[in-house]
Amino acid sequence: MAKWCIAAVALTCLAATQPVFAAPKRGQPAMELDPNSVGVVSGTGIEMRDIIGMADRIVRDLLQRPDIANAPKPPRIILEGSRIANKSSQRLDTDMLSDQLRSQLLRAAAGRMRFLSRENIQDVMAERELKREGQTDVGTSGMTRAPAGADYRLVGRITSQDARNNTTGAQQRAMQVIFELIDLETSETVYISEPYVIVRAQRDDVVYR
Amino acid sequence: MQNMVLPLIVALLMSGSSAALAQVATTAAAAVDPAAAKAAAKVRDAQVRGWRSQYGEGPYPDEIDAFLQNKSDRLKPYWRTLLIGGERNSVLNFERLGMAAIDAGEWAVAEKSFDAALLRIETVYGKNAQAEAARSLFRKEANKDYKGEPYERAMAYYYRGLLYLRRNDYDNARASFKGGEFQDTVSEAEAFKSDFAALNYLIGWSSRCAGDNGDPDFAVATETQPGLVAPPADHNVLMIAELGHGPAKAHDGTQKEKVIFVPANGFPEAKAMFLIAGAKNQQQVVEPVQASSVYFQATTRGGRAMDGILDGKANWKTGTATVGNVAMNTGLALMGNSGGYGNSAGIGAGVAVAGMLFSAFSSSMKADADIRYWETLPDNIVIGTIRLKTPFKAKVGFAGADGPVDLPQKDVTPFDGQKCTLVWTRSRPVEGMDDTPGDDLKVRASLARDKKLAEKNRLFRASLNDFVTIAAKD
Repeated sequence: MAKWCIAAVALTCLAATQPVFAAPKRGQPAMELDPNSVGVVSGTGIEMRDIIGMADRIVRDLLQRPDIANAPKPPRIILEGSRIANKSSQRLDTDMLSDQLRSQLLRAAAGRMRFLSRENIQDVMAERELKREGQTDVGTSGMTRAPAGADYRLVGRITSQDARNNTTGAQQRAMQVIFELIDLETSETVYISEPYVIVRAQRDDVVYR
Repeated sequence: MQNMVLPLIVALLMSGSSAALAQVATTAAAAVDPAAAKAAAKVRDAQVRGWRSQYGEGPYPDEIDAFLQNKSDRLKPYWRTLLIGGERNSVLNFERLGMAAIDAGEWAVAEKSFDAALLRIETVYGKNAQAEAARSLFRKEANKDYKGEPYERAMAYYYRGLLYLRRNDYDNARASFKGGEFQDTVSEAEAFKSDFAALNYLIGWSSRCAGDNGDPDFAVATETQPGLVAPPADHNVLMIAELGHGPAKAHDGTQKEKVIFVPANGFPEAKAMFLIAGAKNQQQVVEPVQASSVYFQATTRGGRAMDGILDGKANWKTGTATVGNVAMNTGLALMGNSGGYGNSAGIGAGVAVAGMLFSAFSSSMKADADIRYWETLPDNIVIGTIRLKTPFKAKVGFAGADGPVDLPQKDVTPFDGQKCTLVWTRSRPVEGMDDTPGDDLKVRASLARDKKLAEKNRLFRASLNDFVTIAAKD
């Protein structure tokens, strides 16, 4: 009897340690997953956890820089997805990176850094014109002579290197993401992020090799 | 009220769940007329029971009709095949749909189709029942979900890349072409690794359009493909023409264990000529040069890892069949010689039975290679470039080795970008087959009765509705 009890407990423990999707016999309704952890489906490319992770690193870095985060006048920064060059072999919407970064930075900096939107400059110019033509009032913050100029632009670059072992069928992808803060007056790079590097490998079933 | 219930019924018909239908029928019954609704549900259940023997777990004809209702006539056959083919054939049918959508100018459908195909191509099958079945001695390779041969996968990346180029998204175009080139590295023969010059050229072009240096990639392309030259630095218009038809796949070997690629016939065009009318109606002719041949790509891959497994299956099948035949003949001979009496007759009968068992074992082994293939691919890809100030008009004509061919000259709409412009056409319209090309109908019929796969396909069909909604928004 005792043996049966031990066996039952062992089986229960074993079942509890299996991943949620280990036995794909039944369907699985939508479930919440932690965006910071490895998802149910993962590959060799950049995933959400990487995007959050690299944004988190850059926020920490920049907030520790007194010349940027504690400057007498908060510096103005442009940060847009279109200036994150994706040279890698992974198709990627770089707006995911820039949005995550801008959101984290804007919230964490709490006014110590300011962000300018060049992506919406046409809307800004149109609204300025309406105000100046008297078609609308001047708003609550008044008018300025010109749209704000930027001190820095945060740019990024994603690169990758793919490798395959045709004997074992294993595929490996190394990806590297770098961000730089460029002084828009002097062209000096005032900050460069620690390279965010991921190296992941996988192997498909032999029927696909 | 009836008007509100009907769309719900149609939606659930498309989801393929008869249980859900029954539920709707019940709900509708409560709202409309309980007796009529109950009768309708009963009729539907009887109908599904009748269809089940023919269509397995579906989709059933009325579900297909409902699904096709809002699709363009041009693409209906492709949507239909995609819906019926289920998850197992989805990569191939998404590729076919995507290509037909390019031909029809339904760009959002084309983009989403190739995204869906590439998502599945990039999925790693670590532990998959269908993949395991494909390796089994007693199941055919066609049991596996289709991902295509490397040349087919590379072409899926090629088309996704061109769709990105069309939108002036040079980074993702480059990523797609790189993905295609990586597929081309799946070659057993060292000499043929990464020789898809068109992809290298397009990586270079995307890089240049993105403001980067494309020269290293142009160098690889021109080294691989004689006659192909890197575009001069000031060229801003890329012209691509796709000629003819790609290869078909067929069985070879005593047990159909080998795949061979059969070149398509009946298309004489070997050249394209772009006629450009620029500002002030100045005419120019650009003759693009061959960058890659899809047939060459298909036939220079070397062996597949799967070929080893299929060869093993074929050897077993042949070996056991031979043993079975010999044993049966020997047994029958022993029985004949003994006149049917005595020890020899008994031994002979035993040997003959053993032979029969071996023969039965042999015939239950399945060594057939999977020959599903992408039939709408072109054969030759020709590329040219030019420097032009937009806007301009382009026409394309085609010629064979012996002069012009019987294909009408046609207008090609350039896709203008700030830095680069794409002119992209093909010599013949996309005319796909009515069914998944090369599919094994016995395997399909057998899998249609599989309850687990039916659930997977039900989810797949449900996802197609989301797919259509998203594509319609773009």
